[in-house]
Order: sequence, then structure tokens, then C-alpha cells
Amino acid sequence: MINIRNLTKFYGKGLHAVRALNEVNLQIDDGMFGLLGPNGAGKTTLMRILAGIIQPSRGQVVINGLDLSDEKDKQRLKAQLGYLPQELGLYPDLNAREFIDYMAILKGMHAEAERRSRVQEVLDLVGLQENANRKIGDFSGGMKRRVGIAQAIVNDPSILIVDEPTAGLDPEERIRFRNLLVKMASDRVILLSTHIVEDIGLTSQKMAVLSQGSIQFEGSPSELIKMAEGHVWELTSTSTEKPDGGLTIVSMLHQSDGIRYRLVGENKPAEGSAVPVKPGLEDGYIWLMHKDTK
Amino acid sequence: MPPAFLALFLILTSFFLEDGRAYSMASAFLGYMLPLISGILAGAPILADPALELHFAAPISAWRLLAARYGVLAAVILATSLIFQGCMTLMGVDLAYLGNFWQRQLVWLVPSLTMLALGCFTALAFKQAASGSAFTGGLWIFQLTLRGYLLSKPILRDFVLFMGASLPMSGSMLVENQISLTLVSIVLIILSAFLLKRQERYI
Repeated sequence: MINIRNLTKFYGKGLHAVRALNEVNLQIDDGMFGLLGPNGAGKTTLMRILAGIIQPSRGQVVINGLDLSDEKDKQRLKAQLGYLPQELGLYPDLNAREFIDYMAILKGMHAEAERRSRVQEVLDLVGLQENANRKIGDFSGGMKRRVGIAQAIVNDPSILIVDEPTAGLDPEERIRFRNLLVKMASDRVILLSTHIVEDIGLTSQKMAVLSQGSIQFEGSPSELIKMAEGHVWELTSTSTEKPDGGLTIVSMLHQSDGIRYRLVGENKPAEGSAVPVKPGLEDGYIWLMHKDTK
Repeated sequence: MPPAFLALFLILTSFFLEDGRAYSMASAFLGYMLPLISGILAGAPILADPALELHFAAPISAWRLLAARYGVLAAVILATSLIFQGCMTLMGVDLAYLGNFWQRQLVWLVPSLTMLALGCFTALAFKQAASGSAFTGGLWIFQLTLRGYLLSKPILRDFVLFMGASLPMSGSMLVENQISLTLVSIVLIILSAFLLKRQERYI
């Protein structure tokens, strides 16, 4: 379990200080937890703090009873942690097996026979068994991500932190990746940070929305969807003018009879043909992000 | 880089075998080139690592990371030096004027360690691998140019990198110099470890 209290992070000092996180409070239980937010919301900063890489300016993080502000606890926590960073750097001259083996040694897995067997196990799990002895430099983006997840789970972590894991993957790779995460979520905490709404909707029972360093929402995806009820409309217009009235366009689809708009906003569009529709998670997210700015 | 310089100096030394100046090429490699190579390479082991963030998330201390990375580099420099000295013996070049076996090792080991520590520290301080190479390269040129002046000044000569190769067998003066450089190296390594503990500076 992850318990985050009043977490604040500043970058820089004095007048030039930038607040990346502002009094964040979260409780994350076992299972898959999605952290959604726009680029620059502070997701990566939060992920890095939880991974013990950067220090918070204020606040407390306790993971499985270990306090991150204590250096010994932090090292103990790192031994039971899996981390996949947003910008994954790998060694192109090593093959997948060598790289994962190297990461396993760094994570304290020194018994060679046990380590080799575990490396083979994770290679099978991420579907890289056929390419285990190929150099990472020859891998596609999706295969590199799979190496990334393999190194993250090689120590069988009780906490898995994955930061924007599906960015840049093709649709098939994204599906495979999401399924892999869900499969692993049964007996551990998986914290998935992303700006792709669909990834959260298809994987997480609990989620939070982070924007400008603050938690804007915490609950289940269905609760976020519910928030947008009565605020989502569709209308078809032949006019090239975009519908106004302070509405946010979620999607635009060119059809034979005009352009079909999906809109989110406080009030119904002025155009008479607008009909209310059932919101989705993306609508809920857009409503949450824009409701206070209208 | 070390194998390339090793090969170059072996070839150059072979050209001077006949006229008896081979020993000066040998001491140039050991006392001047190995410290330079150490300094130039010193910025890279940590800051040029593409998987640095993964290392920071692993349960390893800054000390262990430094020891692992610089241990490998030190081993490469050690191997280069021993191979070179072995080749000199095979080519019949007498290195005895640099002292006995152990004194000869100090001629390259002490300045190489200092340049390694200095390159590591400046790279971490400026958060750039190239800073380490640039600073140590600049210092090397500075000391090489002003070597005579620096050696003539009582305090400054304790910090001359090349005293072992320039004034071999100079007794207590050389010992003082080697102790000073070793102390500087230890301080820089300690400072480097403290810098490396502040991981967020490097990601």
C-alpha cells in the first residue's frame, strides 16, 4: 500500500522556484491504479519520488510501511520496487537477456541459478523468448518497452511503477502491454501514469487525475464518467463554423451529411439538433479539466 | 581509447629503439598519457550512462555506483599500463630510471587517480560528462606548459601531475607530491559521492 501525505515538490529556489507538486494526498491499495493528467501535470515527478529517485520538498510517502524519508527504508523499498521510466535508456550493445540479468544483479539477485531462471521466466512473460539473444539496439520501440517491463518485474516487485509505458507503441503493442499489466496486478500495487485516457479506462479500478501539480479527482473511472453526465452532447452541423457557447470539442467526424461533433460543456449547445449522449471516460476527463475554466 | 594510444606509443617507441631515446617515449606514455586518458574518460562512466535512471531506482548506494563504474575504468587503465610495461620489457627498453617496479607504478598510478577523481568530480559538479574531459584536458595542458615553473615552487610542486615522470627518483620531494595528489584524489572522490547522492541533479 502507498500512502502519500501533503506531498509538495519545488524545482529551483527562491523566485525561480517552480511548484511541480502541490499538497498531494493519495492512498493507493493493491491492484492497478491509474494516474492521469496532461503533459507537465507533475506525473513523472510523482513517479520519481515514489521510486526514491528524487526527494520531495515537503510531505511524507510511506510504502508498505517503509518511510521514504529514511535512507535505510528507501534502500529496502528499492529492493521490492519495479520501475519503468518514461524515457527508458537501455544498452544497445547488450542483448535482452544480458541486460535483464544485469538489472537483476543490481536489484540484489546474486544467486546465479535462481537469477537465470527468473530472467528466462520474465523473458517468456513479456514475449521476448525468441529474441532474448538479439542486441537491444536492433529492437523496435515496442520490444524495447517489453525489455523495460521485464527489467522492472525481474525482482518480482510488490510495487510496480510504470510511467507512460504505452507512449509511442503501435495499437497491437499497446493492447499486449495493457493486458500484461492487468495480469500482474492481482497480487501487487501497479501505478500506471499516462496521458492516454483509454489506457486507464481499460486497466484500472481506481484512478486519480493530476493537473498543475494538484490532485483534481480521486476515485473509480465510473465515478469520473458519472461527473460528466448531462454535460455531453452530439450534434451534426453543415456549417464550417465550430459550435460556440464555451463547449469543448472532444471529437469531430466528417460524415456525408456534415460534421458530427462530440461536445462537453456546462450548457446545451445553441444548435437545435444537439442531443445529450452517455459520457465516456474521455468525456469525464475533459469535463473535469475544463469545468472550472468555463 | 586506451588501446589506440597504447598501440600508437608502442609504434612510436619502436622508432626510437636504435638511438636510445625509447625510454623517454615510455615515460611519456606512463607519466603523461595515462593520466590524460584517465581524465578524459572520467566524465563518462556515470553521466553518459543511458540507463542511469534505472540505476538510481535500484537499491545501490552512490558509493557502490562510483566504485563499480570507476573500478572498471581503473582496471582498464591498469591493464593498459601493465601491457605497455610488458611490451617495453620484451622490446628491451629499460625503465629502471623511473625507479624499482613499485616506484614505477606510482609514476602513472598517482596522477592517473588524481585525473580520474578530478574528471569525475567536475563532470558531476557541472552535470555534464564533457565538463570532466574539458577540465582535465585543460589542466593537463596548463601543467605541461608550466611544468618547469610549477616544479620550481615549493608548494605548487606538490600538485604537479607529472613529477614522477619529470623528476624520477627525486626522493622526499616526489613522495610529498604523491601523498598530496593522493589526498586530493580522496577528497574529490568523497565530494563526488556526495554529489551523486543528489540523484535528481542527473536525470
